[in-house]
Amino acid sequence: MRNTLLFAALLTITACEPPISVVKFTTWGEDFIETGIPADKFEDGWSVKFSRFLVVLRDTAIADTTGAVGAQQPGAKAFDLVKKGPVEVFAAAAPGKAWDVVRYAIAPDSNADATNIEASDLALLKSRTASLIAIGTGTKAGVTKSFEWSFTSNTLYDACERAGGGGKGITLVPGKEVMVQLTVHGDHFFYDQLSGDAKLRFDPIANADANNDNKVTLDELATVQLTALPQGQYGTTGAANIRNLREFITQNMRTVGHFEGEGECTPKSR
Amino acid sequence: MRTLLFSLLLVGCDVATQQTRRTFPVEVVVSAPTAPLETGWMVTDLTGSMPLTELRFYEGRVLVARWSPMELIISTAHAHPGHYVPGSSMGEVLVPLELDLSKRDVVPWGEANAVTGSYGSARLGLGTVRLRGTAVKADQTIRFDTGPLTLAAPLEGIRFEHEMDTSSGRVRLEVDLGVLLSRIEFDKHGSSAGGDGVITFDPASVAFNGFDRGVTDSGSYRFTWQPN
Repeated sequence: MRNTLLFAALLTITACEPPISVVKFTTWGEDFIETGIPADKFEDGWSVKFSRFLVVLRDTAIADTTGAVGAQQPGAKAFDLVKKGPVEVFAAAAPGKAWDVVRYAIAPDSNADATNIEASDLALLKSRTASLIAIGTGTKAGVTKSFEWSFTSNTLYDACERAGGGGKGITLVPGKEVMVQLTVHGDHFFYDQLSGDAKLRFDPIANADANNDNKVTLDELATVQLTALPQGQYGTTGAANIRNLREFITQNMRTVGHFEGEGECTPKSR
Repeated sequence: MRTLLFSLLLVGCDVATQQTRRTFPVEVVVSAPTAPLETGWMVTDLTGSMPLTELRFYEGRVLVARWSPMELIISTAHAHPGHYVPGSSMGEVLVPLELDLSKRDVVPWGEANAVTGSYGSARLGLGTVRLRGTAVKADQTIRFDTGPLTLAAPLEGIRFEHEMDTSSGRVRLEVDLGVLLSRIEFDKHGSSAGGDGVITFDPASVAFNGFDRGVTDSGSYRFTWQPN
């Protein structure tokens, strides 16, 4: 109904304007965030289940190569990607044509609006000035280690392009609604390489539980120097000054934002 | 007719994104730590070699993360393991150079065959790297030999952002031994001194692990454009 009204409103646009389409952005954490990462995906037999995966999305936009913006997300919205998705981020009218630039940000925002997120979780994001909070557990052979990691990073995912050479951006078809998915990959936290072939591991994270309270904090991860981990694991080729497990995981956090499933964006720190 | 039209469109695109072939010199300089490393070790009497086997420039830009108060340079253009996409190749030097790590003067490497355009990152091929020197911390003095380190693949995603036009200049690569050595815990060498008093790191030791991670840390390499 809302889209019908949106199209109806667009009929008032003069004939010389470009034909209008509607772009609808959604976000989704896929099965790994919604239901968990099974043990057969990990190299060391752990499995991971998120209980909450809170993320703030803002600055979502489409633009053309001249820089002209076709649609821009108003404000910011917070989501819990453990809840079943995809979930709408926003929808807007835009001229029906090719838009070479799709971008969005995962960034803190004190004015973020709630969507499918509990009020207490929205308050948690704001109180920590966080862009992303991942809460969950790793389990292996009867041992469970919980984690609650908050990140304040501000990352723009720019120049998104589809996987498999599918091209940059999107093409809006006049008179049609086009869905665009901002996909979030929860398994990146557990990759053991910053580039090249990576495996999922949890052993070093579990072993970081220095006080053995079965809760692995970012502060505990910061005490694990990468030089204490086996050679061949947690390689930082393609990165600089990543010294410990906290920095490593924080870097991987900056890569969670994707586009239309496996499509890539260029992450830019802000 | 349709083929002709398509060809004309391609020509139009080519004009819009035209690149000009050019060459430029690439030079290398080695800088050594002049103060104690963050681990507290002071390293002197450095010798060794670093064979440079290839250098390629790409358009893919790197991610620069700023964490106050320390700046991190995180250089995965598309920072996704297994999905690294450096983008189009912009230039290359394929002539090998045996870099003497004891020298501090600027050494010419070679002439890069390149094109103009927006540069974002570099890939650096290394041969077997080995360093020797003396590390001192408090009452410990260790004459060390890292032993040979051979990397399985070139280092990718080293930051080099430059709008390359036809103006005269050269690219300088600085190998920063201060960064390269900064992860080595020299007393965790897992070995004993030879007859000459030199300790060669056990390849399974924490010290060698730190050497490996320092050599593969993109922060050990800095590319800059030096206008003439």
